[in-house]
Amino acid sequence: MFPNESVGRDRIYQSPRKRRRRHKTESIGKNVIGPAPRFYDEYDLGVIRHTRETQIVKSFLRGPGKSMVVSSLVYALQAVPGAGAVVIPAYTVYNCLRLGHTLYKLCSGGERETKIMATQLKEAVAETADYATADRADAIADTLVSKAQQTGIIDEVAKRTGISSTVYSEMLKGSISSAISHGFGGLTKFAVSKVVGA
Amino acid sequence: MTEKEFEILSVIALRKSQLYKKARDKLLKELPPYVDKREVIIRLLKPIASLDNSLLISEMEKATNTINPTLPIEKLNLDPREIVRQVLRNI
Repeated sequence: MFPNESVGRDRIYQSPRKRRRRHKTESIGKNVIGPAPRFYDEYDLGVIRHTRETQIVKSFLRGPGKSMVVSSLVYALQAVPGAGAVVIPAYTVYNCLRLGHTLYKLCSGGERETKIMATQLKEAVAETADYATADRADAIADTLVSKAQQTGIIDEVAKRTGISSTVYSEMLKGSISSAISHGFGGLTKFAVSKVVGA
Repeated sequence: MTEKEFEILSVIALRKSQLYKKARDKLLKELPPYVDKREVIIRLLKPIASLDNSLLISEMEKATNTINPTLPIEKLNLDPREIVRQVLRNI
């Protein structure tokens, strides 16, 4: 039993003043742990539901769904027998190359803002790959792709391939960020083969 | 940071998009009903986007140092092991 705990006769023979104080404390306690206002309740439920779904998906993809993820990726990388892979049309490729040109222009353009970005990009590439650089690389990629999106070229590429522009821009962001983090060096030796046909 | 590098990056982004689209469509068909499909789509997007760019370049392209932008993802004969490993690590 705790020293402040009152049981038996103490509880019965409480003075009115003490009783009032006790009542006040209880009511304060009730407000603290009692039912929250309606808007709080809804907000909390939303958070709980979101967290729960996230947890379910996370544990599913790392547990029983792992093999599904693996098989879907392997399926995507391998040609299905009987179904011939469609070659990407030259026009789509042309748009892709135009997009590359747009991104380059954005990085080396005459605008003050793009000049700052070009400097940031140079600095980020020069740094070694660590978590801080990855965040910085993400931010630069995000700015670059947002600017390219305003020109409408990303929508054009997406329209021709049947891929949503959101997905394509997300992939472009990831590719640019990965190139900044790991260095552009690996890509410099490659050349893009010329596209022939319509 | 040359124009050519950005061109290669836009082609690689196209390849990643194709990989994502095909893998997502296949995965969504197999998912049990209790798993939130929208959440799965979001969870799959980021790991594929942040894949190492060199993984999306075929051995033949590496040997010739030439990227063929007209080739679809399934024609590249890419090694799935490292791609799967990286996606599973970031999922």
